[in-house]
Amino acid sequence: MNIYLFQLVNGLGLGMIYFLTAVGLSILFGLLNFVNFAHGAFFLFGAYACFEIASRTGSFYLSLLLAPLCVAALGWGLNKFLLNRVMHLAHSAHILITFGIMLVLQELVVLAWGPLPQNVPMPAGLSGALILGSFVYPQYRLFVIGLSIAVAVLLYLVLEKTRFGALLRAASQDASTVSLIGVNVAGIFSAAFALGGWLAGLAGVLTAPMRGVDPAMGMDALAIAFAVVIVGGLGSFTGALVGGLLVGVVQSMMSTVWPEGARLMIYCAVAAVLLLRPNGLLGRA
Amino acid sequence: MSAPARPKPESPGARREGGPASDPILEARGISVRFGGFKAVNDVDITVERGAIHAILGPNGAGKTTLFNALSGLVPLAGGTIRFDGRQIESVPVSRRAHLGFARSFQISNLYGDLPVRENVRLALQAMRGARAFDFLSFTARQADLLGKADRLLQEVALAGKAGSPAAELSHGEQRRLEIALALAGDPSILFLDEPTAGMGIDDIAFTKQLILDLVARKGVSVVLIEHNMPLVMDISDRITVLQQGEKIAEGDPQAIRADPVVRMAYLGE
Amino acid sequence: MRWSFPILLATMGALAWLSASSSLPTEIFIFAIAALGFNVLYGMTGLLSFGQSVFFGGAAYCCGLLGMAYPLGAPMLTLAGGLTGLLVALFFSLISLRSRGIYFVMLTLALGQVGYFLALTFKEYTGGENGLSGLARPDVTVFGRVLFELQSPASFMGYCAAVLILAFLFVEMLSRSPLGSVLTALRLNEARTEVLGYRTRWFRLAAFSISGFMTGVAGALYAMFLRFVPLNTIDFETAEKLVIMTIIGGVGSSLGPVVGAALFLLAADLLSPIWPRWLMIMGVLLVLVVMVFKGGVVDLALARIRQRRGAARDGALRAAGEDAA
Repeated sequence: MNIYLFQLVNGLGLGMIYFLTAVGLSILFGLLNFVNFAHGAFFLFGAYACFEIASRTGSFYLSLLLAPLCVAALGWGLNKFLLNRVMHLAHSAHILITFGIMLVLQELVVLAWGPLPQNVPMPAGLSGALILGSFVYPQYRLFVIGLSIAVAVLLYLVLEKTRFGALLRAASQDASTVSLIGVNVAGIFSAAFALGGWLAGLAGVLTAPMRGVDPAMGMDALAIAFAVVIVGGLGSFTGALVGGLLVGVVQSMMSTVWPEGARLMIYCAVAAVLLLRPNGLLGRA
Repeated sequence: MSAPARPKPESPGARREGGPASDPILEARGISVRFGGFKAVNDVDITVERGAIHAILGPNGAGKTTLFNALSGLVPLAGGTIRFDGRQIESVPVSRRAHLGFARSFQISNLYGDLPVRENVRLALQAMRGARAFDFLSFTARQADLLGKADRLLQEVALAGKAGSPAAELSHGEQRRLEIALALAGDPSILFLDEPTAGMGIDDIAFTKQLILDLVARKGVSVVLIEHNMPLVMDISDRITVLQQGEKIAEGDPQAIRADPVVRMAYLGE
Repeated sequence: MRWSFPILLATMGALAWLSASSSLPTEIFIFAIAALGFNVLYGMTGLLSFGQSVFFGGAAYCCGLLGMAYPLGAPMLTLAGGLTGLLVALFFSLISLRSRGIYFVMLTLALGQVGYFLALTFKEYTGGENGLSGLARPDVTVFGRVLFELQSPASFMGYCAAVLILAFLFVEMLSRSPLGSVLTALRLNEARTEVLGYRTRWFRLAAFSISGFMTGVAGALYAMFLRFVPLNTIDFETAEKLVIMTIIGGVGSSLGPVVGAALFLLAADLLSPIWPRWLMIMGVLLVLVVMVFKGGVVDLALARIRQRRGAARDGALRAAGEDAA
């Protein structure tokens, strides 16, 4: 099949994973005005939890269910016991503190699973390819695309149509008023962290069978997440979606033309965007 | 100690010694400021005569501080022109305006809280030196001329005793006076004071009032004032502009404004 | 603080004296220079840059390539490193002129990644994953005549020590100068500084230039030190190191970054054979410094000294008052 079509679909899949990775970061900033450098660790833990559960139980689908929940718990706990106390500090403090946390979590991963990359087998039933005429594409990647789109739609509905989503958006505008009407604002923020963790953890699980797991993938995911939110703008669901797809597709297409330059191009594009639009393409200050 | 009542000349221009009424120092036409879809200031004209004290009044949310910010260049204009001392300055960058004789104080204290009072003033004075501020070979502690001027300015605003204290440790009234000192550092020809007496005690207010009057009388500084202290405004202003919801609803001398029913509605009817 | 310089000398002397080989003190001196450079941006001007690795690594690679092509003496090569760092920093600064806060930090990250992937992509120049090898360490030469040879570890350590002393004195001077006062004002309240009449863009450029120059000097020294330029000089790892060192050492003084570099590299040297995950401790320390202690090692020490001086002064005043009464 056409190499460009192949790469385009790859880009879509990659882009959806990037979206899942970045949207939690974007929500946290847009809604909570909090920058979380430890976000990459959510992705990392998701991937390693998948590895652990899959190697112990032999079931990828079980890890797909459980791993994001574990990461959500991590996110929730991190906020409740640590980050809630630092919300009032300056952004630079948020950055440095969560950066320190990221270091600790990364080292914990190496402590538990060793510094070398590990393999996660493709789930049974999805390891083949779908063949529709001249369209040949790995089943697993199609699964990734389908699942991420479903999650994206669900997330949108939660943010826009549910009471929780409305409260979350209201609390970001005016936490004190919201607490006056009897809402537990701290609880909402913890839930937001849990949600961000769940999403990034899911992204990690989905990525694991495709490229294995290694301790550096957390920082890598963080860098990509930043690129996505810069291109799409912090604090924007649509921005994270557009940004993720853009970055994913550009990276995939470039890798046919100039493989080494693909990553380079992404970061050059990020720098170019920030030069022209200091708050990102779609974002707000 | 009460200050002598200020004589009310027929026109502000006549205050200048022997000279004819000169052209206005500031002419702003059609000033509009938009935040998203919201028009904070809508097509406001304002003319400030030289050596005059011009007050801007209006209920909360009228757009007074936004107008100030527009005139001093801190928010972008959605429309309008500003003519200062004969030149168009709408597109002059903020940092350049201080060098043209523009100065302003802020409503919410915008000082270098961690730095000593004297250092705050020294920084304001140093800003006037242009490229000399890039000097990395001298010691600021040895800039006798700047430090001397700083001390003199602090005396003018009666803060000499607090020169070494961090600005954040000053009382509210003292911080307002420090704001004025910073504004005076550039020897301005126009001074924008945003609620200079807010939260001040009676003595402080009397002192500040006299300070403003002295500046106008001695140095011919033009003053634009946002104030909520009505007696003060009525006492010292030559001209008053009243805003409501971003628009100008009245303008005139204090007597006219006091009697104006539209103004009364704006304040009492809200 | 009047005692800064003597304390610096004492610290450097102790490090040189107590170390078994010269290589650890040399590495500490080099990274101390880079940390001082980072602190001009962060501690002084309030710009948190996670992209210093581009200045450091870029200068290292440039010096490596220049050194192989031309017979330059060590001072010339050091200067060349500084100039490279300065030029790259100017470029950074022009791109980031309108960026503030979190966007600025992310931009520095992105630019850091650009540097890294550039180095990886242009393998013909940088050696890619394998790094740039085959560098010679030049001596201190003036017009072709050797003044000091730098081939032995001890003499090169001395050279780096000299450069560190110069860097330290420069930063001390900067912090007391008009330029330094404006950078501090920028950090405390950028809007106010602009209204006062300072052309803040130019001052940001100045801060970047100084930081870039100093970090570039450190990069050049590192290339000469190893006689080799590994890829990690331009990797996020280096940018990360500099941030950690400086924050833990303390951003409020010139001694802080130096002490931080020493602590970090000493920990690396002593702990990594025993416990390879020592970086975890650094992570915890970072969190504690920012969240709990609100200052690095030197900041806390200085605060304690000021407290004691203040208490002593109050006590003396009180005693004098009682005598007079």
